[in-house]
Amino acid sequence: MTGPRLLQNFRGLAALVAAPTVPDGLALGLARLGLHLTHLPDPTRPADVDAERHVILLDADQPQAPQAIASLQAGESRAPMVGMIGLETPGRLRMLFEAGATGLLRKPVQAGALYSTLYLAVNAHRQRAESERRLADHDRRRRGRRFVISAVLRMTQREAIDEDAAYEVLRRAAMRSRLGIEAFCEAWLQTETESLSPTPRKRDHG
Amino acid sequence: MDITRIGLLFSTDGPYGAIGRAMLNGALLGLREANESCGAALQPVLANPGGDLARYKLLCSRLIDRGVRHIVGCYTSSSRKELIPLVEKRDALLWYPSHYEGFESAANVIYTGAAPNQHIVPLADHVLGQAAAGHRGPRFFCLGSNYIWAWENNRILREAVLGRGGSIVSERYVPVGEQELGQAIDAILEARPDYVFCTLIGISCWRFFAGFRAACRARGIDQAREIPVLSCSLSEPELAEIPVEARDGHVSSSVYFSCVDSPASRRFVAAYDHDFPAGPPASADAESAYIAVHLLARTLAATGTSDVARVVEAAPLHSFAAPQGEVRLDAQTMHAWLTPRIGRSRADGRFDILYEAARPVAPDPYLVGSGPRLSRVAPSLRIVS
Repeated sequence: MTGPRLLQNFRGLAALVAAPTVPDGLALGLARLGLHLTHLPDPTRPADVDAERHVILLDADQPQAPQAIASLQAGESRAPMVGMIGLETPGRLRMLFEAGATGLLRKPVQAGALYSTLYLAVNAHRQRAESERRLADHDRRRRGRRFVISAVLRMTQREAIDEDAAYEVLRRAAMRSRLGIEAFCEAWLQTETESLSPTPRKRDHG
Repeated sequence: MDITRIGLLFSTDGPYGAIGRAMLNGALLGLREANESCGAALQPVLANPGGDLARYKLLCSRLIDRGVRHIVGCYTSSSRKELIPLVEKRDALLWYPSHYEGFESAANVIYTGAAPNQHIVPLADHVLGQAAAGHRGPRFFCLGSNYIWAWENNRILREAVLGRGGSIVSERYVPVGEQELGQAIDAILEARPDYVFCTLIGISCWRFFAGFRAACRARGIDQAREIPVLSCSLSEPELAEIPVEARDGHVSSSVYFSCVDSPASRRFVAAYDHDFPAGPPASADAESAYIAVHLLARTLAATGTSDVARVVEAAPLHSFAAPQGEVRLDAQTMHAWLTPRIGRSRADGRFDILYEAARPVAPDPYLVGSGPRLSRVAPSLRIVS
């Protein structure tokens, strides 16, 4: 499997820093790497997050960290998340893991550690998003296979052709319709009025 | 007058000793001038790791034990990486006077050498710009010493080349200090690339240039014209180590060559030759160490303290009319604004300048403004032991 191309230059991304204060060194480190900094001091305030443009840096030690996560993930789009953490306890780490954090910055935050952390966090997030997209696609196709099987059976009976030929007819028709074969078969089974055979229907000479 | 001890940590022998001697000379010249002109009382404390990576930390630690807070030193990135935890822990400041591959801004390091946007990026632009008129994309053979300088420069070159229709026919590495380069030379001649990109350092580099020229001659190939070698580190002290018949026609990207025709450059070369008649000749590495010492001296004089935090804060406020042109530090990255140049080597051990930036270029150690956002697809490499 080929994953998405790796992001190695963070120019133009915005870092949403969900923390009571912006740690020393973080602003400088982000500026060096070409990221804009947006400070989100109020964890309860909904944030407009865009997975393509944002990376979240969350202070995981603040008491309101769960509320901040909820606010940042309220929309459909989940941005890459880095946890800034001093309390390396199972509870805090679990909270970050379940929130989908793919990077950690130990406090006190060192600007020198930022590039490596962002590189891993952003690209792990992109790779995970790509895997999830592929998995969802496979799931959707798997659910649609029953329509393909039904359609092939129906076609073999209706056209008196074997299964391979029936599948080929359906596949070509799906391509003409610019649909996946699963979606095409589902739709065709609901109508099933027109002939799809590229060749004339076999006549009964009996 | 209080004496301030300045550590000069250079490998003046070992596999890249000639470069280390040039850097030490540049630093010593800078100290002499600073003491004479600024009324400073800077006392050099010399340490020579001899190119042995394990000795850098030990010797640096001893310098700090002796009250040294500012150390000008290191050539290779691996030696610099050795020292960073130490200078951070013990609150010292390393003035690193060498070109390097970038992707670093350590809190206790000031970088006066070229960042990648000031050496490899201009070199790639120059070569690919020339090749653009050709019928096909140029083919490159990358040969380097097996460490971060070569790895990262090759990556940057690969992205530039692949993005503009060229190709990398091979990427080979040999251990630092390797002198047997016959196999690599055979491989190059078999591949017949348009260019060799050489990131070998020290004795490996000198042996390669000699061996490659000889092998080409034996086959009737005009190496400098047909398979020119490109480098981001070839300098005058290295040319002096290469046999005269193999010195000319190599293309080097650097922020300084001793042939730069300016009053400051002429003064620098004359003073350097006067103080160090035995050589190695003046070069970019010598100039970078010279710049580091001058900027340090000015900052110390202005702040009146060698306190590291105060010096780091104040250093970007000073500029220096260096041999290469105006130099100052960028406060955000603590790297220097420098003037990129491309030179072609001559048999007399000097360079002709082919290209010169119109003005100093801001450092971009993370290639934020000079590199692609997405990496190219990784090359399918065959590992050869």
